[in-house]
Amino acid sequence: MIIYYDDLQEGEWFRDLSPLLHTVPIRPIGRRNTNPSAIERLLRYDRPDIILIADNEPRLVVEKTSEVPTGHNVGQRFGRFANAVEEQVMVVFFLPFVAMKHGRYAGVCYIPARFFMALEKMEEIHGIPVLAVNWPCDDRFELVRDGSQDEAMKGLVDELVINGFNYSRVKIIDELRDVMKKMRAERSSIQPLTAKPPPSVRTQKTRDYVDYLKRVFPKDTEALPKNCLRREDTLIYRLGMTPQKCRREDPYTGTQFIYDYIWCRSGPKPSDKHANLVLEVPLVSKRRWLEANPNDPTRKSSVYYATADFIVLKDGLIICDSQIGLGSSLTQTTGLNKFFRR
Amino acid sequence: MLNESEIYLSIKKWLKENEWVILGGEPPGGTNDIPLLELKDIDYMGKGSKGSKKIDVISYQNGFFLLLELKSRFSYSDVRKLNEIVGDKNWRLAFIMALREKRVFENSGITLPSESLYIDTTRYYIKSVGFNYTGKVGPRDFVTFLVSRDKVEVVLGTRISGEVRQIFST
Repeated sequence: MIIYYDDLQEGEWFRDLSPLLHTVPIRPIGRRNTNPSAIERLLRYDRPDIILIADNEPRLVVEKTSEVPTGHNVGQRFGRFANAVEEQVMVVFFLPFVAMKHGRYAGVCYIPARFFMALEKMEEIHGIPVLAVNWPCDDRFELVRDGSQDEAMKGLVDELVINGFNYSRVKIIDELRDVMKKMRAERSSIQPLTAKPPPSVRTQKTRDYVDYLKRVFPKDTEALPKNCLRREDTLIYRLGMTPQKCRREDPYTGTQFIYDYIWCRSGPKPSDKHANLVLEVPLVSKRRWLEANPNDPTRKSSVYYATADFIVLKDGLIICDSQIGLGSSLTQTTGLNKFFRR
Repeated sequence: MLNESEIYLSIKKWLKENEWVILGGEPPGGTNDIPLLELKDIDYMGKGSKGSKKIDVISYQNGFFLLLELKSRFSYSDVRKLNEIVGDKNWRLAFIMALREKRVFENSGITLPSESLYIDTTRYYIKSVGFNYTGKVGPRDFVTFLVSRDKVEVVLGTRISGEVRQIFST
């Protein structure tokens, strides 16, 4: 086995989770196209925190965060999960399900139900375990940091290694799934809006939306692919970026996968959709967008084009043609991807 | 030459071995097991953390706070930041408030003799920087940690007080 890490302290944390890993070498994830192919396959959309290799195959992708579960930091990681499950690699997301947000707008933040819904849908579609594991907090919603917070992770990693990553034999996976389901049901009941699209996301009938687009961008709309026109519904994710501040990927490139999996996807390939996924950036022109976020496989901005069907801008449309998604011709890109850094 | 993450882990290990209680900080990357402590600018009334300051590692021993900034090489911006935090009463207040907010005192079993001592005076703050051994050291009122693969060397500036020297001599 080998542990690959994005940051050394997380690599050491992961190795210390199980005595069975104590002698396992740990290595940094290098820049794109400098890693073994087993690692490169998992860097198409972003860089995971931890990748565990066993028998020369990636077996586990782990993400760890202590951020409150409502912020951008959580949503932006979903691209890494999508990439992992597309490659049939199990995912574990270690994060607080509830935590205290500090500062002027302090308050207790609970994980939105839709995060669980997206993870469950990823598992359902790809048939590979996708788990969220709770980082517990104390009675005042401060994260526990005395070492006991890792107990569930330790149990999981131990069992996975002992059972040779034969997931059906790992009983704790079912236990963790039950915790997720219970939490999802609880949040859906207490905060039902968190099980629905957030204010930045809306659904329209495709016919109505395309009629509108035909009126405002007649030429570009003619180029829409037929499969887009055939889908009854279109989910529109509005990105409130300005021309001055549109050269960024996080959290949008990751967060789009949450909405994609819950409300659009019907199969393992990004094109397997029952509803269109559209990114709407109404303040930014096509020219400015392409300058800031080109569909260049050597740049993380190419993830904007990895699963959405098209992007609607201030003055026109861009049809998305993935250069990095599952099955795309350029998946094995030779470009240097220095931008795939957090 | 060690990168920032390696320096960070070496320093954390050294602090624990030398009986410092690590209270919090901000790792150079990734997620850590210590709380992130953010000093809020009390003059800023808007949303978000604009103007706030974070210190890489904050630890405590015998009534003294050790504020440590880490880089792979010496950086004057670290010196400037710590001078600003320690030298300004508002930032010292923000520091104590950040510790209180995250329940650091309760969780680490620390009882300060008087919070006002830490807000009104600079006496109990130790400013420090850590980086690879390059022949350079921090200013005279700083403690410098020179980090290499197999050891951490501590250099006390000539203006470091006797009571702080006492801590590092034990």
